[in-house]
Amino acid sequence: MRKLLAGAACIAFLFCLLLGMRKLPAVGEWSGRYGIELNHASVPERQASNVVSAVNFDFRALDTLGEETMLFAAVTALTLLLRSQRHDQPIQEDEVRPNRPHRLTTSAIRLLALFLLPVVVVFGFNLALHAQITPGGGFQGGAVLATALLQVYLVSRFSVYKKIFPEKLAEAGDAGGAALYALAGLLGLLTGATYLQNVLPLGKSGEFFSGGMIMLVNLGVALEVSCGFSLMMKEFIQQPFNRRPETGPHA
Amino acid sequence: MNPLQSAALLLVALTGTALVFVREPLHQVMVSGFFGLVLTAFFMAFHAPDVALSQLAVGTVAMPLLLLLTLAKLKDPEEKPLP
Repeated sequence: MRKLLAGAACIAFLFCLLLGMRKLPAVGEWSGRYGIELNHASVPERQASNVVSAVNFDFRALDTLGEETMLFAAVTALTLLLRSQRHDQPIQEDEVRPNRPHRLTTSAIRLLALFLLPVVVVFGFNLALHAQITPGGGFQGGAVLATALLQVYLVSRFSVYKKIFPEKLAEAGDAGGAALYALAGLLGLLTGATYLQNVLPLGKSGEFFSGGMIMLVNLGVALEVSCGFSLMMKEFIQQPFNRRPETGPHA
Repeated sequence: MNPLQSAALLLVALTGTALVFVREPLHQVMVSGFFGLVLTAFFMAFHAPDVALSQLAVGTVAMPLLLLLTLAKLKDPEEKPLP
């Protein structure tokens, strides 16, 4: 009976789907005006050759402020929920993994990580700093940078990761990045324009210093995302190493 | 639609279906990470490198990692580890 119902639902769904697909435009044939307008406005008006960044950090910068605040709130709430509490007892690493005490990752993976780590860092900075010119930007670059610290955890032990993790710096970067974005918008108000309006010199398209404000707010996003993601990962990684007597699964 | 795009669409369909049929949580995490990678190729094939990069960082690294760590926290310490 259940299978019969599911089959009927599937057929009905397929019918609706096919009905909806009949009127879809062909691949790459979107006729909306907005995208075309932006493609033509981005370089002459903002000197930003990456239209996506021009949209995110200039034309619709206010939307990105909302998204960025959302990430900040999420990371803050997460660190608050997963914080170490007074009666938590740290667990030794061998206790967490009783099946494989003192086991490190194989040397092949460690060597690979040794080569990859600098590449990942450079790639992250490259993405984060060239938002105005090429694909990528603060969000993508920041996320890539955050995974660099993660590699340290993957190839070594939690104690090593915990020792090198700059927690205070990450917290300051998370908040500072969010603040930088919001405060950069005030530049527009100071010069008599509107909030988050692109008031810095635009430069020339394709050069590093181009796009005006795009670069500044993108820097805020890069700082916030890299630090926020790192903090989030650390909180999650730390979880199995805290014993919470009354609620923990180990209790 | 060029062959690359068709191949990417087909891969997304296949991997997405596979993801639904996997029942073991740990395996689900792995397959979802692979699904993220396939989606990255898909976005790249459809000329959306910005989205592809975001998808790569979030769908392939961050989300599977958080799920994996959550599973590690929830795991019964008495339980035998998966082979």
